[in-house]
Amino acid sequence: MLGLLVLLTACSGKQEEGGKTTQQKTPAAAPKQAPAAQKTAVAQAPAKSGQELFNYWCLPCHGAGTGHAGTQELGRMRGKDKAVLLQRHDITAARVKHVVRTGFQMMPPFRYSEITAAQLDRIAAYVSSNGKESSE
Amino acid sequence: MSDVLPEGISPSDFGDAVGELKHVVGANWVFVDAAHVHAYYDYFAMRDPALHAPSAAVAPRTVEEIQKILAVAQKYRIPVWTVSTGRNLAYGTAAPRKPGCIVLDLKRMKRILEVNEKHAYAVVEPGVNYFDLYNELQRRGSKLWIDCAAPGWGGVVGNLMDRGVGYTPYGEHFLSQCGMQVVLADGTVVDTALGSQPGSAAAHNYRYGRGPWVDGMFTMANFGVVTKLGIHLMPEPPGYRPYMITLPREEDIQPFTDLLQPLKLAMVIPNAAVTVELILEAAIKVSRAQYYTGKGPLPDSARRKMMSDLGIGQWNFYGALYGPEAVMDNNWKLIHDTFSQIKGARFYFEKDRGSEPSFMYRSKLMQGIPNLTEFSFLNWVPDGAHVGFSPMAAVDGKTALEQYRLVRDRAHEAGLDYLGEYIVGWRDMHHVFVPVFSRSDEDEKRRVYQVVTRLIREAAQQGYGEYRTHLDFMDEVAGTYDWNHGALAKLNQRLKDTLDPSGILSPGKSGIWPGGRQG
Repeated sequence: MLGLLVLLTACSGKQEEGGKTTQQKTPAAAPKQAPAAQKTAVAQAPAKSGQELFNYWCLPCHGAGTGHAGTQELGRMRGKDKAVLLQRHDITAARVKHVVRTGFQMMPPFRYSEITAAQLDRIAAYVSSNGKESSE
Repeated sequence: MSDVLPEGISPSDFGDAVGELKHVVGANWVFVDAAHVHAYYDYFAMRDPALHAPSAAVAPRTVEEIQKILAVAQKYRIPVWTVSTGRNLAYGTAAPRKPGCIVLDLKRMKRILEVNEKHAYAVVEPGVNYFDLYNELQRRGSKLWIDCAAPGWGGVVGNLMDRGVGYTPYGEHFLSQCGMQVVLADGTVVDTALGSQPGSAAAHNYRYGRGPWVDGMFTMANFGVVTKLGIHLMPEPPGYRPYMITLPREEDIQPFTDLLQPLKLAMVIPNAAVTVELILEAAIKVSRAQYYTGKGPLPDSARRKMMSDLGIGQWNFYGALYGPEAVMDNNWKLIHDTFSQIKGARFYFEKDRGSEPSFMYRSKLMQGIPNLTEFSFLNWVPDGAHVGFSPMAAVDGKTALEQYRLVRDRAHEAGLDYLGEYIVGWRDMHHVFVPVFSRSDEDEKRRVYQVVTRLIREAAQQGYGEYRTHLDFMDEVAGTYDWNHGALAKLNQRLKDTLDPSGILSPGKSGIWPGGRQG
C-alpha cells in the first residue's frame, strides 16, 4: 500500500499556491548557512494530480484490502460494496469536499494549510470519477 | 468571522491585527471564517470544543514571516499557539490550550533542508511529516531509515518536540535530535549548540556545542518557535526480522517484563518494542459489537472468544531483530529461550502472521515505514475517538502489573474498556492507555474525562508521572510535579517570564502560563 504513496518531487525554493508563486527570503536575523559541501536543499512541491493527491492524503486509510481504517469502517457502516472509496458510484465531488473540510466519523477535517482549495477540487474530481479524472 | 476573540481584545483591534497578519503572509493564509477555523478545533474533544477554540489561524512559509507574526502578536498582545502538523488527535489536534489564541500553523514550512547520507542525518522544517521524509529518502535511493510515530502523518519536528516515540532502535525521538533553530518571542533567531558557531562543520553530528545546552528547554514548552531541526537517521541494517510473542494470562505481564528488562538493557532487543493488551491488539481487526453489545467493559467470556478467534494473547509483544543473519540467529535463540520460561508463550514470525493487519503495520513501524493502520482501533466503537493517559514506568514486572491493574480497574469502574500498551524503551516504559469513546456519546465522553482526571491523581500518589497529556489535563499533570513546593514549576515560570514577558507564545502549554496566571 505504502509503495503507492506519491514520491514528492523536488523543486527549487519556490512555493505554490493557487497560481501564486512566492520566493523564499532569507530572514534578516537568520544565522549562517551550513557549509556548502553538506547543504543539499530539497524544497518539496505539492503533489499535482488528483491521483497523486489522493494517494498521498487518502490512500493510507482508504485503500483496498486489509489495514485501512477508513475502508474497514465504511465496510461495517455501509456494506462491503461501499467500503473502498474509488469503487463507489454514490459519492459526489461536493460530498468529498464537505467531508474533507468538516470530518466524518473518526476522520478529522483537513485544514487549508494542508490541502488547498485547488488541490481539494482535484481530489474530489478523482474520487467522484472512480479514479478516472486525474488531470494536473 | 470566528466564534471567539482573544481575551481582552476588542473586535476592532482583532480586525486590525488580522489585517496586519494578512499583509505578512497573504490573505490566503490567514483564516478567520468559522468554517476555516473549525478545522483547528479539537476533533476528539471530551468536553465542549469551545474550551479550546482558536480565534484565527495564520500559516507562514518562512522564518521571516514568523518574526513578523510575532511582532504583530506583541503589538496587540494576542497570544499564538504553535503547531507543526497539528495531527496528534489524542492530545488536542491543532487546538490551543486557551480559547482565543491564534494558531500559528507551521504546516506550510515543509522543506527537507538537507539529507546527509554519509553521516546519517536530515534537517527538516516543522511541516515535514513522516511520509514526506520517508518518501524523500526513497526517492533518493537512500540507505537510511526514519523512525516514525504510529500515525505517519505526524510531524517529524512536532512529535520530537513533544518527546514522542517510535518503534525502531531510534524510538526515543529526542535522543536523535541534533541541532535546532528557534525564534524567540521578540523575534530573535537562535541556532543552538554547535550551530551557533559561524561555519560550523558538525552542527548535526554533535548535539551539545559548549556551555549550557538549551535544546531540551524548548521541548514540550512555550519558550520559542522551533523552525528547523536536525535528526539522526538509522543506517539500514543488513537484516531485519520482526516477531511477535503472545502471552495467555493477564498476570504474565509481570514475569515477561522482568525477563525483558535485561534484554533491553543489553540491547539484545534494540528497538522500542511494545507489549500490547488484548483489546487494543484485537481492535485493529474487529469491533466491539462483534463480540459484545451490552454496556460496561467487555466480559471475560467475550475476551476469551476474541483471543481464540484471532489467535492472540492477553498480552502481545512485538519486537524485531536487526543485523547480520548470524547475529539475528544468535539473538533469537536467547530471546526464545528466555521467554519460553513463560508457560503458554507462543512465538511468531512474518511467515506465520504476515497477512494479519496488526503484524503488518507493526512490522512496518519497526523498520520506519509510515502508515496509518493503527487508527483502525478507533473502529472499536462507532464514531470512535480516543485520548491518551501516559504514565511512565521503570522496566519492572511488578510495576507493570500494578500500573496495568490500577488503570484497568478505574476504567472498568467507569464502564470503559481498557485499551493500552507498554512501549518498552531502553530503561523505561511508556504505558499508554487509550480509552476509546464515541464522539456522539456525551455520557461516555464525560466518563473518560473523569477517569483520566482520577488516574492522574492516583498515579501520582504511587509515584507515576505522565510524560505527555491532552490540553484538558496540562495543568493537572503539571501540578503533580510539585516536589519542594513546586520548585520545577517556579523555574519554568522564571524562564517563561524572562523569555516571553508579554506571554504571547502558547499560553498554558505543559501548565506554563504567562506571569503564572491561568487562562
